[in-house]
Amino acid sequence: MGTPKLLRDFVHFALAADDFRYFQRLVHELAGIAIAERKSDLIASRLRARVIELGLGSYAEYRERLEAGGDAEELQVFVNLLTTNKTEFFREIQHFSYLVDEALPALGQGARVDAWCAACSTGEEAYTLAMLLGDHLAPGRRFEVLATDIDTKVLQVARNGVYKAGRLAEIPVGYRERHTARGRGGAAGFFKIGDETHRAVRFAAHNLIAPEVPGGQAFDLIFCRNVFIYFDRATVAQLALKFHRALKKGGLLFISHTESIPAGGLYEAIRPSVLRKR
Amino acid sequence: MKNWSLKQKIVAILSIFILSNFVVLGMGLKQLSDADGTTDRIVQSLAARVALAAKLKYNQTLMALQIRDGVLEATADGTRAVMKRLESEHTDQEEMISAFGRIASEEGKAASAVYRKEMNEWYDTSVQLMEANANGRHEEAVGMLKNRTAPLRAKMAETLDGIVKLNADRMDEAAREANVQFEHAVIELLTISLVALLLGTMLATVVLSRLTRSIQNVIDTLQGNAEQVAAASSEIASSSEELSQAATEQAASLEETSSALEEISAMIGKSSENAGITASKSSESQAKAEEGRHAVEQMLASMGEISQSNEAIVAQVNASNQQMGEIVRVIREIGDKTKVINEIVFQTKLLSFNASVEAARAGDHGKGFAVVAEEVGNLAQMSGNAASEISEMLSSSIGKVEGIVSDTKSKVHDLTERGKRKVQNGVEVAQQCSVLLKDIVGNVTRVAGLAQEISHGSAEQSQGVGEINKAMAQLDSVTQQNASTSEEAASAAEELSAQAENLKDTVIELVRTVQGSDAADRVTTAAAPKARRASLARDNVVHLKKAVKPAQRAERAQPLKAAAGAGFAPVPSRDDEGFQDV
Repeated sequence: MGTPKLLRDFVHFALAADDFRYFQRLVHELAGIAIAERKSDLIASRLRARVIELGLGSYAEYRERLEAGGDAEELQVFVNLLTTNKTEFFREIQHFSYLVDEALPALGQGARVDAWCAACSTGEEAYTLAMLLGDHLAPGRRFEVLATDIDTKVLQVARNGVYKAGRLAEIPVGYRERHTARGRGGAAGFFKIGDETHRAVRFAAHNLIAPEVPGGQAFDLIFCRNVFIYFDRATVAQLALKFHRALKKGGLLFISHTESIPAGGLYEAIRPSVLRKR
Repeated sequence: MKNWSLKQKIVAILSIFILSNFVVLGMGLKQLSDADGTTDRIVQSLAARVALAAKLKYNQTLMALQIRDGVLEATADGTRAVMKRLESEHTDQEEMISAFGRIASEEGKAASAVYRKEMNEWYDTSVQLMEANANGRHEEAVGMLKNRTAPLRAKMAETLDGIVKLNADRMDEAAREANVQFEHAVIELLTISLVALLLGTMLATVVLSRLTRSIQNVIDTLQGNAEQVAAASSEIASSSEELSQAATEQAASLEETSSALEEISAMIGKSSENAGITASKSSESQAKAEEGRHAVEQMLASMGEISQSNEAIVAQVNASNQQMGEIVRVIREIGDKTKVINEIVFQTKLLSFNASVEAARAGDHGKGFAVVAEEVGNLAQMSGNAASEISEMLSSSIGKVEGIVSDTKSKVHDLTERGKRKVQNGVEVAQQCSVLLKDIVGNVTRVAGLAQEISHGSAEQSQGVGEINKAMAQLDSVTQQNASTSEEAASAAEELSAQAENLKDTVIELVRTVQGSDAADRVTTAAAPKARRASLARDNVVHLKKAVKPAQRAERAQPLKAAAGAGFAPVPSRDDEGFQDV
């Protein structure tokens, strides 16, 4: 064996400024994600495993591979790696309290309630919505939650609808009992979203910066929370217009409490981070 | 009033101003209407009276002129025409006096009655005068004009002047009165306006100063808060960025640790394997050493035997030497016997010659026999040759055997002497070997024990590393989550920070609205943007990665994933039978 393997040749596996700018521009072009100059480490860390997995020697080689073009799959992997997938059940619960106490009772007598969970990540928000709509709409009233994300890998997790049992704590007890099933045997330590709730959510890959609205129907509710924080102002302004097109008149747009959008006469802010289409 | 809203307060102040405005307006209107009354009195009664009096006087003058014209007329018709005009003017005069009487004061009425009486007397006299003139009594008429109508008219004019004077006086008085009234009104209005203004201003001052104070409080608090929020959120932004970076680095170093662990794991496996091999090899060695010891013992025994054999060989050689002597003797005997053969050969030759001679005598019948006799002769010759060769060989054999015997004797002696020494050495070496082998066996036994221990230790280590791997996989998953969470937090904090800056701008806008732009400028300079904490210089954090050939890396990435997978149960499918339906 000679010299112990561990002590052999440690070197810098660094992301050059030039390569960083390439990745930064590419992800902005593909997904609208704006990554600040100082976040070079973030990109390096997120791409590192992929570079190693592909058996490449440096970020520059990975860049060459992407630049060569023609590898749509690798571009998708690249986007998947650079998206931030943070979500929880019942996250920013004020929105859901408002939804149950005020928004749903005010929805009127439409044929069907349509909700769009834009940038659903691993699906927690979409299932939260499905649980609430299932429990609080008038009996017999139909609804559908369309959940989209650009990251195809998280969509797989979302479609499966299986989470670690520890996450159950995020779901209030009543909803937990009605909408989840704990695993046993091979599925011990996990729980799944109940089949009925699971059926109420339709998942699809969708790039928010694309001009078209997915689903083909107009929405009563759009949830797009903690997404604008990754976009620049111009992209946010475009999205504000796109959501405006996608909403029914009087439909509601929910953004995160830390976010704001240029309402520009399109929306009426009816409470913090809840906007109604004019 | 403290509980009033801003709108209520402003409405109250405005109400006071508007109310006082209305009061002043009302008062002004009343004063104006009073003044109007006075003016009316002046214009409509006094002035009308004066005007009427003036008209009366004018009419009176016209009448006087008519009268004079009448006197001057030479014809009766002319005089009567003038009389007619006079009559109509008299009617006017009467109407005017009646009109005057209607608007006159009591005093004026009395005076106008006197005037009417005087005027009628004057008119009647004038009519008489005109009649006289018409009747041709011109002289009488002139005389009447001078002596009667003129004095009557003078008296009349005096009365009328009295009336005019009376009214003029009255007008003066009224004007004075109006003047006084106006001054009073001015003073009153001024006073009321001043009082209302004072009251309103006082109230406005109180309310506004309170309002300003409370707005100022709000602004101070807001300003403080906005700055605090801005500072705090920028602090949060920078810490969460640090956090994010730290998490990112943690994830990276975790990955490195994972690869390192994986290598350690591989090494432990290897050493475990080696220890196993060592253990088995050392027990093999032990057996071999044991065998060796046995072999040495056997060798020692063999050496003894060799030694004995040597003696036996010497004896044997001596014995064989004696046998060699026997052989020499036998060979000599053979030599003797060979001489006998030679004699037999000679006799045979002779016989063959005789036979040939006998054959020749027999002629043709003996020809065949002659050939046989010749052949026998040849054979005898060959036997003789062979016998002499054998004799030669025998004598050389005897020499050789004797040489060999003596040679063997000395060589065997040497060899046995050397063999003795070698055996002696061999015995010594074998004895040393035996001792060493004994040591070796002891050592190998210990090595085998140690290798066994190493093997056990490695197995435990391997288990430990497995546990660490499991923990690392969990840590990795958590760290990935942390990295995501902190990245999200950092992005959110950045947004929050931007909004806090907006809030600050809004406060400055409010300050500008309430206190003017100078104050706002002061605020802006006071709240000069604190230099955003530069993200920590992290150049000293070195990211290490082994320079392994790409292929090796790819190879290594796989087991790491596998290890992570093994340590960390994979997410089951939702169709897994472990899920009970809800």
